Amino acid sequence: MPTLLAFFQSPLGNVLLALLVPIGWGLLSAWFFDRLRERANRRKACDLPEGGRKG
Amino acid sequence: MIFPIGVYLGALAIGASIGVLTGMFGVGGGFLITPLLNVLLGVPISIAVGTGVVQILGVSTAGIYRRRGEGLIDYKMALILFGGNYVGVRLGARTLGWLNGLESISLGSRRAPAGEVYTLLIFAVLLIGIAVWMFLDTSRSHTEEPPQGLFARVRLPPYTHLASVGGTPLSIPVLSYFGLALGFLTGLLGIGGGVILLPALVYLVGMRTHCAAATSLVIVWLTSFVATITHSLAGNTDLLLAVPLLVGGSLGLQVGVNVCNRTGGARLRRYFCFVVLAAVVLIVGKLGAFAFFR
Repeated sequence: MPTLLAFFQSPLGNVLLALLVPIGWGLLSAWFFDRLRERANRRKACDLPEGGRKG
Repeated sequence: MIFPIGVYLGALAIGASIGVLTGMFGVGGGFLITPLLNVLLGVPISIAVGTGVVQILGVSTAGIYRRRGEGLIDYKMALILFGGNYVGVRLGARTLGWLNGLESISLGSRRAPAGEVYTLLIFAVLLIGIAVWMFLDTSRSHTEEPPQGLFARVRLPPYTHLASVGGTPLSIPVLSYFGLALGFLTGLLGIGGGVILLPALVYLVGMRTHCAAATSLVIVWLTSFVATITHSLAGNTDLLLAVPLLVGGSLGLQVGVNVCNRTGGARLRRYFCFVVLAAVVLIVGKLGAFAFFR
């Protein structure tokens, strides 16, 4: 653990962290919103009456 | 560096507003983040620049992921432009350093670096021209997209065929030098290239507005990736401050992409005029700062 901490305080660790945090966050948040949208769409489709669906 | 809680809340709001712009137009918003963090929240300028770049990287990553299935991003075009762009940014930054070392001029009662003042003035004129052109174009034109781009008329082999411009053959050397010119302007003027990129992709390359906004996102991602490495090596990034910027940015991005998808090309270009004008206001503010606060 102290070795890992020391690594992230080194210049290379700093660069890696500065790249990993935004890219990781960006992917995670976009994936989360995708799931949220899919769920909302599924719920909307389930709420539609049978006759209201268009093939 | 630990800031008061108000700074983090302010960063959340700034991140959200910039995220909307990134989602709508594919601009990184660097030209807004830096002055907002510095002037409104009192974050030191070097940290504001470095942390702003981290936010742009995160939000553009989310934007590319969000748009991956829509078929709007032209990765081939982004890569061709980025090659020249990267070299251009380096060249522009060196030229600015050289210009600033030349002489200083009196502006109001103060002295200011001549090179920076002249380049800012030229940029302000260029941006006003872009805003007026786009505004007039969207006012008089009844079609959603402008006709063939200017580059389609240039005959200089080898050519590439890009789906985003309807398969029209485009000269690879022209595209590469265009990327270099864009990068040169970005490096020289010290603000993000997104403000010039979107109108250039639409009017010069002939891309549809929605494709241009999505492809611009990839170029912004590549540029901010390189800039994040440079700034973190220089110790300019503050990840604690980047967190609220990223959280706000990813929320704003969802709103921006939704608005973009529901808005017609012509209207989207008209809205973009206001973003360009915001950049002009900031440049005038910078010139004012030279005259009164230096």
